[in-house]
Amino acid sequence: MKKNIQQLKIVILEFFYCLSFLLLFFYIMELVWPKIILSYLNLSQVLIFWLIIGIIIVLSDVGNAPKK
Amino acid sequence: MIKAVKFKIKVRIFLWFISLMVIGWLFFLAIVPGGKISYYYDFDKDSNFISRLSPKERLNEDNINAGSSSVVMIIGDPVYFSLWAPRAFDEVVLDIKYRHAMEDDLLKKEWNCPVIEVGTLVDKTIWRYDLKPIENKIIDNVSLVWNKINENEIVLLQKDQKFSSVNDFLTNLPPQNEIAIYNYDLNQEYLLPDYSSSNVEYVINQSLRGPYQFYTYIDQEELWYEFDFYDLNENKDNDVVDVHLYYQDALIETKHLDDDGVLADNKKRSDQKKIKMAIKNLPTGVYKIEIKVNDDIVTERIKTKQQKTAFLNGLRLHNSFDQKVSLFTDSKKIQTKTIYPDRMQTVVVGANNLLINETYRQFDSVVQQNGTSSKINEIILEKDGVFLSGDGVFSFSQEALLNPKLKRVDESLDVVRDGINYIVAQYLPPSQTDEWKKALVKIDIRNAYRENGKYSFIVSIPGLKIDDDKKDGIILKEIAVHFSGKSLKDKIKELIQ
Repeated sequence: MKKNIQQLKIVILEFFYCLSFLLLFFYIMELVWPKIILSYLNLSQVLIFWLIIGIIIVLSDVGNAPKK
Repeated sequence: MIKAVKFKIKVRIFLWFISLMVIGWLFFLAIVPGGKISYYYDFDKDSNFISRLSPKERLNEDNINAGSSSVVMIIGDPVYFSLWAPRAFDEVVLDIKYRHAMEDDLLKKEWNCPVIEVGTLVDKTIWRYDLKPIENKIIDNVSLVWNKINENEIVLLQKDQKFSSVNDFLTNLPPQNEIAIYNYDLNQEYLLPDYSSSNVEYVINQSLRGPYQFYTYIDQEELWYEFDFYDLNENKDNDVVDVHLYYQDALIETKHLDDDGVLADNKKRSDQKKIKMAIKNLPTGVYKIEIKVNDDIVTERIKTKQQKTAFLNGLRLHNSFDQKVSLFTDSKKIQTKTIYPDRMQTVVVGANNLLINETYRQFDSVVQQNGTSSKINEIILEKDGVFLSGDGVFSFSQEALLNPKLKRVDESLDVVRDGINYIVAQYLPPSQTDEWKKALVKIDIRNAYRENGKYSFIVSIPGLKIDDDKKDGIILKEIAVHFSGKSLKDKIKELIQ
């Protein structure tokens, strides 16, 4: 059980990092090539999803490094 | 602990792989490596690629009997929409599903707009659209009665069959006054047998605002025009002047004037600038001169040694004098508009009087044939400051009128009265599926104007007015757009060569 929770924490944290990179990439792409992302993806929804994960990480101990 | 690190690496690899897939997918959609892509808009939900139709005042989106699906009804001409494409394409095929409002049970009214067209913006300075047919009811109706030959999308209609093929017709052309064309260029040579050149200098002292085009004719003489321009400086645009000379639709000479340097809207009139176009040894025939400017530029004076100067489709008389202006036209129907309250007036159009009693409103008048057999009518304005347009040409003297264009199959054509015996058109009639009509319109967009990835389109239905009593219109159900262009493979091949 404890192992599963630990793995879920890793997944959430990695997913957050990945989504942060994607959002930054999408933002730069929109600046360089307008509408190229917004035509295919609803960035507002992605941003809200990213924010929810961020809040979960901050409010829980997902972001804390495992004790040695 | 090691297991946790291994798991973390696995998750990281997996998520970054997914991210790269998403980025790759987006690049695939943006580059369109196959060179072909389609977008759809059914008016139920906004499309990211096809904009809503505008302006709203010319649309009716409520109370239309079309079952459960959303539709939009065009009630005024013209309406516009734009298409966003991730990259430039060569051709677009618009697949439009529509029907006439008169076919609706609730709106059974007489339909008087026989032509429906769609086109792309090709020149933003002079707002020129390249129009292609969606439907032409005149051709559809005539083809039911006349002999019809259809070859490679070219339709030849003959009142009495004299030609066995389109090629036979093109090689043995009948008299020009018996032919009407639509979306087709016959490239016929137009010569005036009774014309003789002279050295008299003609001056048009009427100020003209914005862009315009005119025909002129030369026969063993020098083509000589001198234009005096000034800049009103009423907008912040770069106000350049380009004068283009065309012979048989090919650009043969260009003159250019730079902006006066004032990019502010200070409303201070600039100094006068001249452009002179003098070319010798040109072949006999009709030439077209295009003055490509924005609305800030006024042509104060035109001096010429040519006897013929006939303005195509209309001209905008600038408000410079309070004196009468007399013009001549072969148009069957003219439209007038003024934006200046002190320019509201009664315009004499042939045998009719046309009252302009509102600014920014277009007034139409059917030109009467003044009791003579001549098809040329005079237009007399009490003062200038009026925009005039029509389906023919305009000139400041009767002798200067010249119209080399063949009659066009549009709402102003009367096949019987105009003595038309042949119609040539590049036209594919719409197909009927259940209650909806489906038109496929192929448009070459290689030279289309594209801004921020958007192509601008117009839907033109001449004669469709909001402010008439008729509740007519066009109900649109769906627009599908099929872009095609160079594939990634073609592009790479092109770069290598």
